[in-house]
Amino acid sequence: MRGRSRASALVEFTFLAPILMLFFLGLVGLGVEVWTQLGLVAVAQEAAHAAAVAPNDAAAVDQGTTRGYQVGSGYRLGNGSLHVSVDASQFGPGGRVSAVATYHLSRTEIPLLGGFDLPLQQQHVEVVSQFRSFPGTQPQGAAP
Amino acid sequence: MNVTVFVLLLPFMFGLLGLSVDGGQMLVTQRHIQGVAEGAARAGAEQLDKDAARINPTAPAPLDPNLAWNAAANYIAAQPPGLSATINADSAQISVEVTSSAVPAVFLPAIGYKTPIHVRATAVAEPRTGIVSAAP
Repeated sequence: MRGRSRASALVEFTFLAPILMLFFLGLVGLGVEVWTQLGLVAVAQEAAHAAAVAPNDAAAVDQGTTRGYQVGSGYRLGNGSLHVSVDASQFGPGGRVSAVATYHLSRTEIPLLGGFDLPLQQQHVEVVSQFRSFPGTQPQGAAP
Repeated sequence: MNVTVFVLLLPFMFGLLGLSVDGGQMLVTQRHIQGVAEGAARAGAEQLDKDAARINPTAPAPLDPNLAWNAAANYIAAQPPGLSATINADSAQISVEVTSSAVPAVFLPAIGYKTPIHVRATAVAEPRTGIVSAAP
């Protein structure tokens, strides 16, 4: 009688174990997705901020992109799909710069994804300060 | 026995899953709009009252509340759409409260919670003048 009960429990566990495993893998996957989104928020904000304090528009793109990848590295967004793009076309006193961070979560990070990629994206716009100095430019009203 | 326990635990497991999905989305939104609120407050705190500073150059320069309000509002308007804000500025400081659009919830509506969820973030900034060197 006792042996039969044990056997029954084993059969039940055999059926339930995959469901439980799927549930916990799903929870871990959700955690990874949230962590990645938080990382992308930080990447976009830091990239835009670094671009907004650059001396000119070309340097804004360089500084913003570099800073974005640095922050991404800190958040371990390291499967090679992190892309940071900085738009500095409206760079200037009182202007704005925009940074977009994209990342594709793959099955190496979330096994449940199988062969699919999960594309994630965050954007941030930073306003360039109106009163900061811009090295190499002549202040308004200054003698030549 | 195992199946009975599993069935009893099922609502809690779904609740945990729901908390992970919807709570995670709220956390990401909160982090995003917190950065927006801080940036807006920082932009507003740069708008000093030049006339007051010229009249009394030795005193700390006060904020120009109207310019500060406009700068913060412009900062928020520059962001992707869906944010609303309450801005309060006086001559000493500016506070910005940003509210997100409704966070897309998946599990909470399924258990009957249909009220749209808006996430808020608050930031306060004040001007600092007369800084001649970085702190050691």
